[in-house]
Amino acid sequence: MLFYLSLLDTEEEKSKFEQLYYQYSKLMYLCAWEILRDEQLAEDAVHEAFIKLTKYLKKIDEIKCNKTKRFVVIVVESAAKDIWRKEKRNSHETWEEVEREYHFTAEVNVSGITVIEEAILKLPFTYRQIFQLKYGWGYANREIADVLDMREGTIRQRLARGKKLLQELLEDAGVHMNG
Amino acid sequence: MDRIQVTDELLYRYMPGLEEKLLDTYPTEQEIAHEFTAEFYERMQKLLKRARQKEKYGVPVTTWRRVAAVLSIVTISSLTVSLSVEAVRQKLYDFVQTIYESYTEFLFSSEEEKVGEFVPLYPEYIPKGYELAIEDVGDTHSFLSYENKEQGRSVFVQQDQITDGLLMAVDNEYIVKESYPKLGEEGQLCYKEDGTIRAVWKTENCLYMVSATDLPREEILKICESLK
Repeated sequence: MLFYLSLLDTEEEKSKFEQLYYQYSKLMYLCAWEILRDEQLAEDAVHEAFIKLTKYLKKIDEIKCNKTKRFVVIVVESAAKDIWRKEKRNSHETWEEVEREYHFTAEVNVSGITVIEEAILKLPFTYRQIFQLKYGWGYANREIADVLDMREGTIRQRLARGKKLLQELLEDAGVHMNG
Repeated sequence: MDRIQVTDELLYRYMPGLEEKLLDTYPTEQEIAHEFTAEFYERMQKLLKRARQKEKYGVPVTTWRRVAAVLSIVTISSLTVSLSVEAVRQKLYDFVQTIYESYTEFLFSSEEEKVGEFVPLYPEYIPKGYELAIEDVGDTHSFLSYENKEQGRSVFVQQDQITDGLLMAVDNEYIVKESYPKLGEEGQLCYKEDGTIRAVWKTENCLYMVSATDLPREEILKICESLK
């Protein structure tokens, strides 16, 4: 790591890209690992995610904030998904199962959440990702489609399906307007 | 009791708070014990170098948000090129050139998401002492960096396919510009005070940029003309 650091100039000269690397690379690795369960593939996902992030540097205003944290996590999750599809499609597990079960371990520790928030957390991560970007951070459907390499129509479709699924989860949990 | 309705309003109300709660539980870099492999460091080192070089020599990115103009939009042009097969002139893309204080931005738009296939070109000629250090070839771009380690110099060869939304930013520090149509459409040689020379030109569906510091003009042209 020291060798790596020695290649950099002064703090001021560190690019936004480098700051992202130092701020989030290990977190990104953890997220990728939880999807891929393979050290090499998880590192590949982080690398791919950083290549993709170069495209969005102008969009990122602040490095150390939750909006950027969510963005880089979603970019690496998306990269891990692509790798999973290429490398693990023949495994005993289907992607749908992975998707249903994937929750970043750290999220298990979240406390003080409402019943509605708990239901949102039960959504498969494909829907959750889109909800997070759109409703959590105000990204437009077009922007979400670009980040997730999907068509805008697919995003609209998933938003509708996600809402329907959430509605069912809330009804199962007995949540009502005044409940 | 009324049945709850999952609406945009409800989600806009709950998601931001949930996001803050979730993301605050994520461990910091210092709390994560993982050590990346040497191979990963090596790959990231190349990427970091490329990111720096792209910041310096031009950054092709797709745009989400246009930055406010510092000076003015100077031209809005339409480029037309001949398609030999159809023997008609067909508009492939438009671009808006915006000059800011320190850089000029070219924003391309096209009705087609992508015009033609991207074929990365490599120089058949590179001056003695330079070796390929970075080779980053994607679906619509190619970035090659040839380094002369002994002299601490580099030659950068960049090729970007013109795609809808491509945003190219080029810094304005070049003090002299020489038209050089022999290279291709809008071929130009630009000279910086520090001795950097940059050659830029367009073809039917790609932008090319070759730049180097402390390399004679003829050598740079030789590199450009050897791209195959």
